[in-house]
Amino acid sequence: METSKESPPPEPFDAFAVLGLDRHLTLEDDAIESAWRELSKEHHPDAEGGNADHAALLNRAYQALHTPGNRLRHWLEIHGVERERQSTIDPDLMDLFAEVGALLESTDALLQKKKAATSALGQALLAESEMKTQQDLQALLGRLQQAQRESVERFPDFESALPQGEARAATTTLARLGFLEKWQNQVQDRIMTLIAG
Amino acid sequence: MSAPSPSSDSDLILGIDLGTTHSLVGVVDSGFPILLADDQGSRLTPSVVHYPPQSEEPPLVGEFARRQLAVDPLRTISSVKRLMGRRRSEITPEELADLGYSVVSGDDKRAEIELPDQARVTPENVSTEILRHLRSVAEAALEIEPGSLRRAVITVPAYFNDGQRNATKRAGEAAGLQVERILNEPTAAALAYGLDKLDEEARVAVYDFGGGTFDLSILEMRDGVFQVIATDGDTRLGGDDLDHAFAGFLRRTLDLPEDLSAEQSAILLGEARRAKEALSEGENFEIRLPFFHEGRSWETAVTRSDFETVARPIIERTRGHCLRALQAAGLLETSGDPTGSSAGLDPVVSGLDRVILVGGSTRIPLVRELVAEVFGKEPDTTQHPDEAIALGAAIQAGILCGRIRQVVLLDVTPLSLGIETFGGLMNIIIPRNTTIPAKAGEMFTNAVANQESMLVRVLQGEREMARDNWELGQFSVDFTPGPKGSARVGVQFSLDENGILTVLARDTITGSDRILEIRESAVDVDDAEVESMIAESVDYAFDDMNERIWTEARLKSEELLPAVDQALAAAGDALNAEETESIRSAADAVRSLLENPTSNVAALKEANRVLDETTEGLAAILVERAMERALGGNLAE
Repeated sequence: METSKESPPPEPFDAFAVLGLDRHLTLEDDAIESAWRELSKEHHPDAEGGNADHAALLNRAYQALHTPGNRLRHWLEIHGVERERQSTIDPDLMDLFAEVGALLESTDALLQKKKAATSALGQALLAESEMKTQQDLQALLGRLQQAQRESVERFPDFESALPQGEARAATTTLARLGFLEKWQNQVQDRIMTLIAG
Repeated sequence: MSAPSPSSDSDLILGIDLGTTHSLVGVVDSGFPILLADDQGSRLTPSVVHYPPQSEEPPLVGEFARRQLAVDPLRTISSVKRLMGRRRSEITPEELADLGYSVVSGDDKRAEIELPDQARVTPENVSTEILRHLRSVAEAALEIEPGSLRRAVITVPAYFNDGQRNATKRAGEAAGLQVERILNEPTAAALAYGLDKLDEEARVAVYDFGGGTFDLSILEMRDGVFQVIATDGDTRLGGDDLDHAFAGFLRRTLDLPEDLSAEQSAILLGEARRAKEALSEGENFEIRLPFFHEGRSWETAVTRSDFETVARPIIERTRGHCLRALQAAGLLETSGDPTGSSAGLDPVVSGLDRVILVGGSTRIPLVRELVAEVFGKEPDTTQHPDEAIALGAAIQAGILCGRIRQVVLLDVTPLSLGIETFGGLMNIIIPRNTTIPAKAGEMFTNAVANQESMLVRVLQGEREMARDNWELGQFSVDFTPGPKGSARVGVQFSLDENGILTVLARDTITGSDRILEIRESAVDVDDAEVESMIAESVDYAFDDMNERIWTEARLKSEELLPAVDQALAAAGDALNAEETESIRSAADAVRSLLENPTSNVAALKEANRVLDETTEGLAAILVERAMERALGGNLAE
């Protein structure tokens, strides 16, 4: 079954260029989205003269830029900066990690109990710890979001440091954002399971 | 209505809503979408196919087939959409009982329907008959030569997976239609809603609750771009389930005989559906089952509140999907400071302009109440519940054949696509809610020297463990022999604008590309095991039904009794002596039945029910107190 279908997009892939944007870490989400939407309107396979490959390329570029973590990763990639092999984890991130782990564990235990309770009374007895857990999760989510904002606020420094060949702070932040985004998803997921079942 | 000029027939694309209970067909004529009626004047074709006993006779489709449901239920196939693209082992005994005809395991373990004379038809075959019928309805309505319409857009639930989409596409092709697009139903409804509002900027949710499936999609509409931001749903949640639940309620309240025939069950189901429809308009309905069983007739009056009691738990299941889609779209405030602006712990919806109702089940008042409560605004009911999706399909067909311009639809994939990785985990390659078409690559290498190939399992779903997700199948990556880690095969996963997957492998050393076929798992131990487990549990259920019911009732008692003690202690003086006494005596009744080995199952179930009911007030008090404490007394005023 040898075929000569089109090959994956040629490397290096530059999402900024694909979307016609300047290579700035500090781009606003709205700017990225509207560039993507305008180009998609033109190149979607349903549009006159559009085609699926180009549309898929636009979507890939959008994915590569649309969270701060993805954006920083891609920005470092196109500048040829190697990712840290052994990223150092700073103490306050370690503290957060301990808290996230403990809270996720106790939430999962509660969710198990909730699943086992079939009577209204059994569920009512869990109501208090459920609400307490939900509040704890929301408070923790707030702190994770705050930590992420603080990292993102440093993006301008990374841009000015790069011409001097200094990318260490950026690569550490990348690792940090990776953890923060993952934890936010996990906490968000537990909140949704509590309120949405 | 003027028919389009004959020269354009081959370019004309049909828009088809292939529904669980009804199907419709439309086209765009002079820039406007229209739906086409059959020779009886009906635009709604029941999605029912009847296979007559003499197989030389062609199958009956639509209204004529529907009339056979209560006459010849084993040869009359309805709700076949529920089986599309699914394996026999995934279908639960409850679903089978609801379908009412025989479903067996066929090629590739796919679900197939067995007719009484052992003849088999696949769900795709049945869908093909419906599509063929719709095509001929369209050709007759447009007064064009039979067989000249060859292209179609077909809608599917947004939450359909790759297998279900592929099965729908194949059904269309077998009906002689080139399937130009598999379109998501809620997206189609949004097109119907927004076509005359192209100047408007709005963020809308489409709540699509049909006969067999539920979808919730959130879209942003501006400058003619319809962009889906998030979608969530359940492909096994619809009006059908309400009918079956209400039929069960009628069985219990009328105390109908256990041994109903397939025909009698079909009649009862029909009556339940009529009651549901009548109770969506009025408050009362008279159930009549004349000469129903051994010459005996049954009659009873039912109220809307009877129906709502039965329907509520099913309708409630849509809530979680709404919240998840809202959260994914970033329109749900759950992380707000709980002591701050929001009054309670309930999530608050923000930044949504409208919630649009489509699908027949949205006629039910309780559904509308739930939507208003979840979204915090009255739903928009301007769209015809049965017709909006078909109109949207016609619009998309119009876009594809150039009859409608300046409109572009950007849809997403509802499910994450991934592969099984080390430790049985799911490794996500294309996350859910990614705009399609989408492509993503993954590099594979040989783990040991001279390894010839490796098997890769392809999955769809959101669960962490691979085994908890839907397995699309697996493909094999071939390696050029060499030392460990020397082979380099890049695999590209691509979801096209229909949401259908193709996998392409490129050997970076030889530079050759190959389309990889995704097959059913070669070693199917799990599947066979699951199947025998289901078979066993069904047998077991019939042998030992009583014991099973007893065990269930006992477990329920064992959960309730300690909870009662604990709750009474916690409630303190919130209950008066009389209330406390009635709870205690209800608990004692359960306890004494539980301890007596000669107890009757029905008596224990009833005692449980009474205890459950008696403690409802107590449960409410506990929840209220928990909320007060959680919110630091904010609710006190």
